[in-house]
Amino acid sequence: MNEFLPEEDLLRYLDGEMDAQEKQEFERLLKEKPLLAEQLLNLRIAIKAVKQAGTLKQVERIHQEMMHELPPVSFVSGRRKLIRLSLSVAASLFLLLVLAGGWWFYQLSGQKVYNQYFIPYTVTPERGSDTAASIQKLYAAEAFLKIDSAVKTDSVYSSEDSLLVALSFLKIEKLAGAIEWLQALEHSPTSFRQDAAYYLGMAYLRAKRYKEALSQFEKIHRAPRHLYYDQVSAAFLRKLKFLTWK
Amino acid sequence: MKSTSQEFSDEEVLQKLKANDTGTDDVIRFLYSTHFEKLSRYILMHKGSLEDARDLFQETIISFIHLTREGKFRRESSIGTFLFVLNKNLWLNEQRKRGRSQVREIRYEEEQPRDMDIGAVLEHRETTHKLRKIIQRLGENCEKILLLFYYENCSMKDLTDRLHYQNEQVTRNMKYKCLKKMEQLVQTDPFLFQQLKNLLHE
Repeated sequence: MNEFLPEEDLLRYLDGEMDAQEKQEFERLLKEKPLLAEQLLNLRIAIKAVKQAGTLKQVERIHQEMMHELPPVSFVSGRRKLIRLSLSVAASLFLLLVLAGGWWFYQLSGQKVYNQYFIPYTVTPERGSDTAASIQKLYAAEAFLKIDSAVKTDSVYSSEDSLLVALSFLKIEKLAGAIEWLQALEHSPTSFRQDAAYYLGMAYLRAKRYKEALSQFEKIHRAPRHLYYDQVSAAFLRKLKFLTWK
Repeated sequence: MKSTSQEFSDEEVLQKLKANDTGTDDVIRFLYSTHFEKLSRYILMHKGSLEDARDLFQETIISFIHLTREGKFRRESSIGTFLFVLNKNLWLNEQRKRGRSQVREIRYEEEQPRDMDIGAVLEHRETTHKLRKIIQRLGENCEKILLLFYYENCSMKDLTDRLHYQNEQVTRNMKYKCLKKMEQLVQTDPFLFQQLKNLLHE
């Protein structure tokens, strides 16, 4: 310790350990010795640093405690809120679509598709024989049961009459008979082959033979020149596909 | 864990912080319980992370205590409002430091309390950062002696008992050595030295 700078006295002065007389004497000394005053200032600054550090350490200690004690702060930003909302809306819409699709699928039936897409056949005498035969007259009068009674297996019928017999069977739900007649007509070399192809598909549909119906209509859909091409839409084929899953 | 459910009025908070008596811990805990959530939400809403929010709140409380003890918080607003604006300004400054383009031209809260001296707050923050480094260099033992004596106002006898020194003279010598070490460390940083000197004269 420098004999001119009583550092221990400096500390006693700073810590308030001097009695009044000592203090007075020391303060007089401070005025006389600028170096001593500077030394005192430096120690005061060091003590100020300690006090500032004390606050820092105290808050740091309590901070650690409180971070464990306080409930976590949850926050959803505006952007995240928007994303969440959009996702919720999308999910709701998706769910709605799934439900609507499910309901539609549940409601889908061969009968409904048949009724929606069946094109009634119109008798065209000029396309077949010159004279309107009795089967054609009965068909035009929608006397389908009479046609059923009149048909004899050992008789030979014109292509159009064969078609009308098949369509009559279709009308009175003799589906196996209708299919048999239409299959035969589809493979015969007549101008009614394309009619037969279309109504055979319809007969399969009515008989709930959906895979065969789909195959039949896909053939027509692939042939733009087919007489019934326009009747076989993509939507119709899609419904048939769904029916095959039932 | 020392939990507190104690509540304090603004007046009591200020009195206890200034006095720095045994109740200060409870007051600081009260400030955390009352204001942490609201201030953290602000940081989270303005592109900060939870870690940012926690660090900023700690800085806010430290600055608030310093400003209170130095008489720079003159109650021109409630403590809640003052802390909110303080926290917000510290965050704006932090963002500027991180180079966020949208705050390059920093604009502090326009309707801030009149006793909010941003310059002083930022200088305090800088001082705090520098002090953290100095304490690390001071050593655990010296830190303990100096804080117990000068911050927690322990008597020389208590200090001797708590730190298991042979007698008070040994403790006194040790305290003196530690204070000299602190003095030297502070003098290595002219900014810190000047800041502390200014604080002494305020």
